[in-house]
Amino acid sequence: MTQTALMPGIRLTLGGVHLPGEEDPLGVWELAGRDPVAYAAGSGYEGPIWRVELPEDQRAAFKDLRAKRAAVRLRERELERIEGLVARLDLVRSYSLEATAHEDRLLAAITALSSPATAFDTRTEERVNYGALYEQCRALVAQFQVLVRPLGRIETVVGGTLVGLTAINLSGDQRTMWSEESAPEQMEAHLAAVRLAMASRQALLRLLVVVVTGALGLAVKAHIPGGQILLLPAVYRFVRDVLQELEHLPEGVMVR
Amino acid sequence: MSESELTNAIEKFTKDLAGRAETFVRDISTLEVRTFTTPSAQISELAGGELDLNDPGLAGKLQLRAYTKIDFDCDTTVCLPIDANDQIDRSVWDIHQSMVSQALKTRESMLRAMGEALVSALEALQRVGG
Repeated sequence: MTQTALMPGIRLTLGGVHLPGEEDPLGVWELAGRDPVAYAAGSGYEGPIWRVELPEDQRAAFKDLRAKRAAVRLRERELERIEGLVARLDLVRSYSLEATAHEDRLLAAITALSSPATAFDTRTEERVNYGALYEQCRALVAQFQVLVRPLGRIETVVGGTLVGLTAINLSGDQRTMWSEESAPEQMEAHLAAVRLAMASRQALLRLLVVVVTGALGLAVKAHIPGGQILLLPAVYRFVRDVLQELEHLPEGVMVR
Repeated sequence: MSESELTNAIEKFTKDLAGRAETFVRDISTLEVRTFTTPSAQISELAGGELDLNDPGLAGKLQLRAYTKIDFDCDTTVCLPIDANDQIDRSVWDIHQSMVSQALKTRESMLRAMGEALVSALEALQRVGG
């Protein structure tokens, strides 16, 4: 999912996390991988880092940060609807006119995995490449592990200077370091960054739950041994694709 | 990657999650918020560090300005920041209070998220059982 436009000088990055396609499924953060600045040699820190870079006049950027937080909340609410979509997915009705393209794609993945003849048929395009699939699953699980690491870090940079840094654990304990010269509006900017980062972490954890429980439920329905694992990438893709549709809706339109 | 390697990765993830949940339940009994300041020339050095408060190198760079600890039974310990005139340093205190408020909201939403995760997991398990 591509990021929506931000005013010049604003950059929102999430480091230390790799997700499929190097895309934030919430469409808010630019994935920065293991940023060499954030992960200095020997630092030992391996958790996620949310970094908010703002222009010198950061007051104008507050509107964008608030809009991004609203976007994260909207996606978190949408996850509830998606959880229902996955749970109610009708495997028998497959490819009906009522199914969306995303549902068809998910159903195709389930069908391929639940049909050994297709899965192992090397002549068909639908055959399952188990090696690649296991690798996708392993990578996804590894990144889920990063997301549930106890510590997360938020850094706010204004006009190229780090002004505030917060380390926060899952239960909410916080340690914040300010530069002695941080101005009150810079502190407000960092607080807004912390709020956005924490809202994003919560939404990503919710997404993780929707993907894992969705894959488990579908595997049982489709009688796929080990399917709860093998279906993780397909369900993740489904959730991401449905969330991505929100990007194309006009403002104010509600999804039913 | 072999299936057994994947299974091991999943098992490790599950154990990690269980460990996190255990730590979360243990840690949730208190909430601690610390506010430090550091000379502006040194703050960029913290960006790459572990931020381990037991690290004497880090402790030397930081000055603890405000501290709040809230126990589960709402017993609260607060250390206020004062300036050179022994007056409360308003700018630090105000932002510290905002951080405490943010931390309480984070904890509340994490508790809710954990609860929802548990409900989802139980529903999924019920589907397995059914």
